[in-house]
This record gives sequence, C-alpha cells and structure tokens, in this order.
Amino acid sequence: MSDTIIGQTEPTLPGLAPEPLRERNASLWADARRDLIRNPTFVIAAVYVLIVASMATVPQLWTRIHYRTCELTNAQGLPNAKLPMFSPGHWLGTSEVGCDYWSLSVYGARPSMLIAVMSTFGIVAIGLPLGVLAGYFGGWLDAVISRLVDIVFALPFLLVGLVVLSIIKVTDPNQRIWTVTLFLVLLGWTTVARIMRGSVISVKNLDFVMAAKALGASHGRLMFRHILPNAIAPVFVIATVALGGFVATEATLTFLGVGLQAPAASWGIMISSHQPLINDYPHLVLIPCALLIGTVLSFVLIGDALRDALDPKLR
Amino acid sequence: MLRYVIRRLLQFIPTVLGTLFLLHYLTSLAIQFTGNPVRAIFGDRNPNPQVLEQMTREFGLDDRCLTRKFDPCFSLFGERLNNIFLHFDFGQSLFPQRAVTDILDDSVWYTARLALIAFLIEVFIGLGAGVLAGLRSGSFADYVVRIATVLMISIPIFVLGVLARQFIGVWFGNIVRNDWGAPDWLGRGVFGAAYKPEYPWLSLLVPGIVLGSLTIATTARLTRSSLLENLRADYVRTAKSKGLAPKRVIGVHTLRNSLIPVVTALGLSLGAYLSGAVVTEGIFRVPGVGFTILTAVTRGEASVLLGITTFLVLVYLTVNLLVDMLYAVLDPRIRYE
Repeated sequence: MSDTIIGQTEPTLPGLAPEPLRERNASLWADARRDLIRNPTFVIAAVYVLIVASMATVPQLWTRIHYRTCELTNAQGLPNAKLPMFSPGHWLGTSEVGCDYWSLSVYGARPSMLIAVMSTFGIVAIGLPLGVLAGYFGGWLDAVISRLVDIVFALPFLLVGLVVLSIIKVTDPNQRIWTVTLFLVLLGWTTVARIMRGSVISVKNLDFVMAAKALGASHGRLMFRHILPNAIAPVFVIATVALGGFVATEATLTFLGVGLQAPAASWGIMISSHQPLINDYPHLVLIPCALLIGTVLSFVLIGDALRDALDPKLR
Repeated sequence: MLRYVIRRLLQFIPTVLGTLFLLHYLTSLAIQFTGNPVRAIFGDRNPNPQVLEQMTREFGLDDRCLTRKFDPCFSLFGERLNNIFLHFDFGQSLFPQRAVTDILDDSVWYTARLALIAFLIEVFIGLGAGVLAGLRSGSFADYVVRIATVLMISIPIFVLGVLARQFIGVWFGNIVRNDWGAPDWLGRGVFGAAYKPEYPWLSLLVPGIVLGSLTIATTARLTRSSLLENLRADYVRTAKSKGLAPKRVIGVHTLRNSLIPVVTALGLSLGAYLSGAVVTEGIFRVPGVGFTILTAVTRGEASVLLGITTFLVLVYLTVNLLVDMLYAVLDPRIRYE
C-alpha cells in the first residue's frame, strides 16, 4: 500500500499548472528581513534613524539657514535677542546668542551620529577578530584575550573618559570628534569580543564545521567561511544598541565639558549651555533632549527587534 | 569553596595591576601627545617657567618619560603603585594644598549615601517590576513594565537629572512650597533643586532616584527574562505536577533560582553608580566624590583626577570580587567549574 503512494505523482488537472508547493526555506537573514518589515516598531524606529542620519549627512535638506548665521541684535536693535518659538523666520526661536534653533538642532545631529557610527565600526573591527580568535583557538590565546577583556571592562567608562579627555588638549572641533571616537573605541570593544567569543564557541563544534574540517579546510577558511557567518548575528544586535549607547555617551561627555566644545553644534552642548535659561525658555532644553532621547530610543528598539528576528528559538 | 576563593584572589592581582596600568598608560599617552596638563590651570596666561616647573613637580608629573610619545613610563607606574599600596597616598591637590585621601574622606560619605538610596530604589522598584512582569507575562502590567524599561534605558542620565531638577525640584517644588504650604522638610528637603546640608538624607532622595533609574530598567528586564526562563524549566513543571501550592512553586523554587543572575547584576551596578554619581552630583550640587571630580576637571587638576579615579577603580574591582564570591555561594555550579 505504502509502495504505491510513494510511486504516485500528484494528479494534475489538464490545463492547470500544478500549484507549486510554497515551502518556506529561506535563510536566517531572509526570515529576519520578512519579520522586520512587518514589525511596526522597527519601521517607525528605522524611519526616525534615517531622518536623523539624513540630518547628519545632508543638513541642507532640512534647513536653508546655516547654524552659524545668528542675529546678534533684535528688531529694536537690542543685543543678544532670544526669540521665542514660532517667531517669523525662526519657527523654533533662537538660541542664547540668537542663532536659529532649528538649524542648530539639525546640524547638531552630525557630530553625534559621526562619533556613534565611527565608534561602532571601531569596536566591531577590534572586538570581532579578537572574539573569533579567542573562541576558535581557545587555550592560551583565549586566556590572554579574555584577561585583556576583563581588564578593559573593569574600567568605569565615563569616569576614565572624564580623566583622559580632560587631560587631552585638542580644541579643533574635527580633531575633537576623532579624539572622543578613539577613546570610545579603546574602552568599548570588550562587549563585542565577549559576545563573539561565546557565539563562536557555541558554533565551532557543530556538524557542518566538523564536516568542513574533515574535508581539510584551513583554520582561516573554517573561521571566516564557516563559523563567522553563522556566529555573527548577535554582533549586529550589540552594534545597533551600541550606536544608541555611543550617541548617549557622547552627549554625556559633552555635557560634562570634556566632549565636544562650544562653537560646534551638538545636542549635548545645546542642553548644557541652555540649562540656565530653562525657566523662561524651556523649549531650548527640551528640543535637544527630545531629539537625543528619540535617537537613542530608536536604536534600542531596532536592536530589540533585530534580536527577536534573529533568534530562531522564538520562531 | 576555599579553592575557588584562592583562585579568584590570585586572578584578582593581575586584574588590579592591569587595570591600574591601563589607566596610567591612557593618561600618560594623553599627556605625551598633548602636553603638560598643568598648563591648563593658567588658562590663557603665560606662566612663569619656574612656577610651572615647580607645580608640575608637586603634581608628580615631572617625569621625563611623559615627554616621550608611547613611552609606557614603567618607573612612574612603579612609583605610583608604591605610593598607593605602601603609603596609601593617592596624590596631592594644590588649591587648597591637601592629600587626595583627605578630600576623599570628606566627600565619600555623600556619595555612599547617594549610592545606598539608589541601590534601595533599584532593588525595590527594579526587582518588583521585573517579578511582576515575569509572573504575569503578556498582561497589561507586563506591557507597561516593558515599555517603561525601554524608555528608561534610552534616557541618558544627565537628561533625566536636568529634567528632574527643573520639573520636580523647581516647578513642582514651588507648588509644594508656596501653594500647599508644606513643611520645610518636604518643600525644601525632598523637593529641593539642590542638596541641603540640613537634610542629609531627604534632599538626596530625588538625586538618588535619578541615579537608581540608571540601573532600574536593566534589573527589571533581567529579572523578568530570568524568571520567564525558569518558569519554563523542567523542575518547575515537576514541582507543579507533584501538587505543590503555586505560592511555594514560585516563591521557593522559581524565584530563588532566577534571582541568582540578578544578584550579580545588582552588585555590578555599583560601577554604573560611580560614573552616574559624577552626573547626578554635578546637577544637584551634592558635595560628593563625583562633584569633586567635576571640580577637578574644570580646574584642570590632572593628578587629583587620577588619584580619585584610581581609588574608585580599586573600590569597583573589590566589589566585583565580592560579588563573584557571593555568586559562588549562591550557585554551587560556579565553584566546581
């Protein structure tokens, strides 16, 4: 009985093409992509991030006024005019020295995003290979790398940042961005290395790696062709959350006076320099706060969505 | 257990040395690349070279190696270690001329009080919210906790501090003080915009909550996920199926196991407090260690900064060690690894 069933083909009606069986055998990433574009939280957060990214790369799209174009006197000729919100020409008013607040907010996205993106690339560039090496080879190499991770991880981030960045005397805004980035990378790579190491250890003894090894694949081929693509997913989650974390850290360091410095446009500077005016002009503090929180929140939400989408156990 | 303690203690020594060296090397590099930090004290003025040299010496920054790029300055590091561990000397401050240990002695108790308040807040609210969300996963309370924690993670602590000072300390505080005619301890103490020496605990309440909020969200999320994981575990099903009362299944079997990682996280939140205290103390003007650090940053007193930070790193490492020991007590699997 069973023999006949195996041998039989599906009866098809003449003139109708057989309905192809829609088997979902997409890769982990294709599945994740499907999940993500159907996730409204992810879509909203991603749109927000895209908006902020476009502010950072092409601020001219969002404002025609440069943030350094300031009106030092008001209509009556009195110095240092602070226009309130919804003034003609300045719909968010002007800053404490009379610069257009909307364009300042737009241009303020650039240093934050620049530092966040470069730092994230940096921590992945350092942490990923170290994590792969430690996880794959184990032994003394693992011991050395893990100890190094422990040591760097034991330094309180913000505290050491205050000490080191307050000693470094670099005032040029562009160089300052590089200095802050370098510092964030130097102390920030440990999380990526830890996660990658754990992920590689859990993958390296799976059957397909054994098979590749049995076929005589070299260490490099095993690590980068077989293990890495199957172990890298958690790093994407960590990197996304790190982007948000770096935006927040940069603003915090700037607020404390050791990050970026005054003539540069940055949300952290906007918050700290307008603090004394919060009683009369609360929007001067609330606007950069809202932009900052929105950016960090979007990255955290994207990270959460990615984590859920990339975890096959949740399917 | 003894073997575990000894092993951890032996691992502790290289970690302490490594961490202190890294701190030393980072600051040395900063000096080597951008010049003598003592100069910053003079601002735009051009200091007398002799005065500058003398001050540099008093700060302990006159070592030749600080002028050679990438020099690891081992001799200076050895000298610093010697001062710290044999003489308990963390350096000098010049204005006023005092030992860093004296400055710490004055300020550390404010920070300890602040951290204690933050810790209690974290334990009660964070743990409570996490347990609530974990036990009723999918319920309305769970959604509220999940949304609130994501929001709290996304708000940088300095933003929260600035907003709390303005909206709780100034605006709401004015309502309490003027419209309600509240007693002084409530109006100026609890809802004040800055630290008041006459209310050493009450006026630290709002700063403490701000500081605690740094880790409340992480604790709540960790508790929730750990609880959910354990509720699905086989031993819980066994406990249920042999007819134990639900209270006992959750209270004795599940909670105790799921709180093990949370205890570690709670211990490690001290590291977050050390950094967060700089921000909160600066905003609410609490004269603690963080405030001292900020003052040293504005004055450019590099050696004071280095001394205090070294001290705080040592405290943090010791706490880490104790947490690890506690973890081994709570979870025997760690000991026999």
